[in-house]
Amino acid sequence: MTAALPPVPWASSQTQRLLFQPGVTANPAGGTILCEVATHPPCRLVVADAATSAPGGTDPPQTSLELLTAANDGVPEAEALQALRNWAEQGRPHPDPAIQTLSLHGVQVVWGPERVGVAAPGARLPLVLPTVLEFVCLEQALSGLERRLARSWPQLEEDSPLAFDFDHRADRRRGDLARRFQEVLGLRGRWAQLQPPLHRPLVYPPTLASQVGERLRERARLPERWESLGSQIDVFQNVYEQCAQRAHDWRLAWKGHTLEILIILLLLGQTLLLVFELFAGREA
Amino acid sequence: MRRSSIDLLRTVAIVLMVLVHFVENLAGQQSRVWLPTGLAAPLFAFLSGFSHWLWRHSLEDRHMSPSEITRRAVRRGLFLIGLGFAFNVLVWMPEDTFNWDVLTFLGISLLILECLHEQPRFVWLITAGGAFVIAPLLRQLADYDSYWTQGWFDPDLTLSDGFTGCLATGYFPLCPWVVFPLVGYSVADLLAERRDNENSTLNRLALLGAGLLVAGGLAVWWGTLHPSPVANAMLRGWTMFPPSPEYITGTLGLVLLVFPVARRVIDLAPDRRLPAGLTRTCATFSRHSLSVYLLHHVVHLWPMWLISLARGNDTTDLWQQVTSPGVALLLALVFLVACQWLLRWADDVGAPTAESVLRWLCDSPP
Repeated sequence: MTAALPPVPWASSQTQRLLFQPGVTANPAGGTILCEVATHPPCRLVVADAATSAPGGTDPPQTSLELLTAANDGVPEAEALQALRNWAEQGRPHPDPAIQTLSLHGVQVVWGPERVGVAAPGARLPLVLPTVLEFVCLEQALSGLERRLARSWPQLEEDSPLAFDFDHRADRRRGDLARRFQEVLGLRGRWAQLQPPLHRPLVYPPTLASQVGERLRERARLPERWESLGSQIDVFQNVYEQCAQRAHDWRLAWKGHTLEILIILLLLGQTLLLVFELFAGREA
Repeated sequence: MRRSSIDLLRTVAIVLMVLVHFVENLAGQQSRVWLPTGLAAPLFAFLSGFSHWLWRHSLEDRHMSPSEITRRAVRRGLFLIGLGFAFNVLVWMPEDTFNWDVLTFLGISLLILECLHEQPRFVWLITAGGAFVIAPLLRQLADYDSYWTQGWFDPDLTLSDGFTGCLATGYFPLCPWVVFPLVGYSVADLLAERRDNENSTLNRLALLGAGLLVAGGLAVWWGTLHPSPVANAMLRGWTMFPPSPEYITGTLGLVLLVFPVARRVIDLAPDRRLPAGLTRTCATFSRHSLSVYLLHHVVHLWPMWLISLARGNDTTDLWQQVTSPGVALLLALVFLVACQWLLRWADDVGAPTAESVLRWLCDSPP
């Protein structure tokens, strides 16, 4: 925990380095869990200073984030928002379209790929911070899935011909196909688990925290992105399901063809011998 | 991308072939302990199958249509067969047209590989095994020794002799020589399939090769210890003409032992490379192996024929009795050096070689 970089308009602020752990199976050694989304395995935001990576080394890569929290008592909203934006854009192009802002009922939130800033009156800050962190957690989880899927498109294009035709040369890629199919199913599983927290019923009567949470999800288009991701995963799943079907059909057919090929080879050998004997006999 | 191990092994095969041919054709075919006869052809045939797989899959990787690849492969096969017959007529004698030498064998093997390439690996290996098993039987049926009464293949110009010569009694009959290209093709396919685990696959291949080599040696030993009518008919000792089962087993083992070792030591060792000069020499010989094969025959056979003709003698009068083995060996070395220089010059100026003619004729689009 460190003080925010000057110049800052508010008297009390702090920054923390957080780690987003998209699917850690073990408990972080010594890290304080700030937020956890109930997926399996859970997505977590952990304080980075004390956290170490989980043993085994099989967990997905972690994303590092910087969190600025500030009590903006007496600071005009516009000034606070601009200060947050300036902080979030440090080292990035200006204006950065990836950085979003929200100002609602005296609460200012700025979030981007690597930084999240929250400024609120001192009394309200503890109320809204968990909501903002939950949003960050969900947004990071969804972005992670989007990135993984985006990286897989070239592989899909490479594999898609096998959804139509499969032969013994394609059989060499059977292991790769199985692995990718498993990855797609894994993505589908993570995607499905994000549905309950993303589509949670609205709170009534609304609170400041619930309104901030709803607005953040709306601004980040989380439900729409989730739907869109589902459509993309459908494409992957269709292709790899068909590949799996073709590979299975080919294997079954091949087991039958093996015997036929052996019989054909034997017949060819016998024919060759007969013809050879005929020629050799004529010579004799 | 060229593989240094293949270049090196093919160069070894070519150099051995040139040495053996010079010594045998100029100084006679007496048994010589120091002359490594019978090792070059198996290695060369194995590498031809291996290279054909690489060539075919490089074209597939470039998304060439399967029919175009097959067309090119068939043209290459037919070119080699035609060249083989022309070579027999022009370099040897017209009566040797159908002696089924290595060029015709390689051409027919290419056609066989092309027929089988759609099939899975086990079909290639069963075909190879079938050719190996059936070969002694075919030789028995055809009465092999009756074609080799004078120490060389001497068939009549008849369809039956041509057919039996191609399959069983010629210099390089398909049964059992087709084993080598088929195994080379299978090894290339196997290594491509297990490229993530190539080292262990190479280890297993080397182990298999060592086993086959020992088995070949044991079969020779067993044949001499326990002579019987069956053994005499099937196991004939370590002979290349006819290619006995012991010889085929042993040389296949040797090839399967040498290839993985070369691949591991030269290609896969990250901090070990052949010297640049040797790499270039091997690449030149390997790239122009067909030219070297044709050229070395012309260089050492035609002068003998011409001198005999000039003296008014029979064309083959001087064959195998021109000089001593030492001088023949020296002439072979001189030829290799001159040939290397000539081929580099041909590469530099773009002069036509047998390979460039092959590519021009077979690989140009229709």
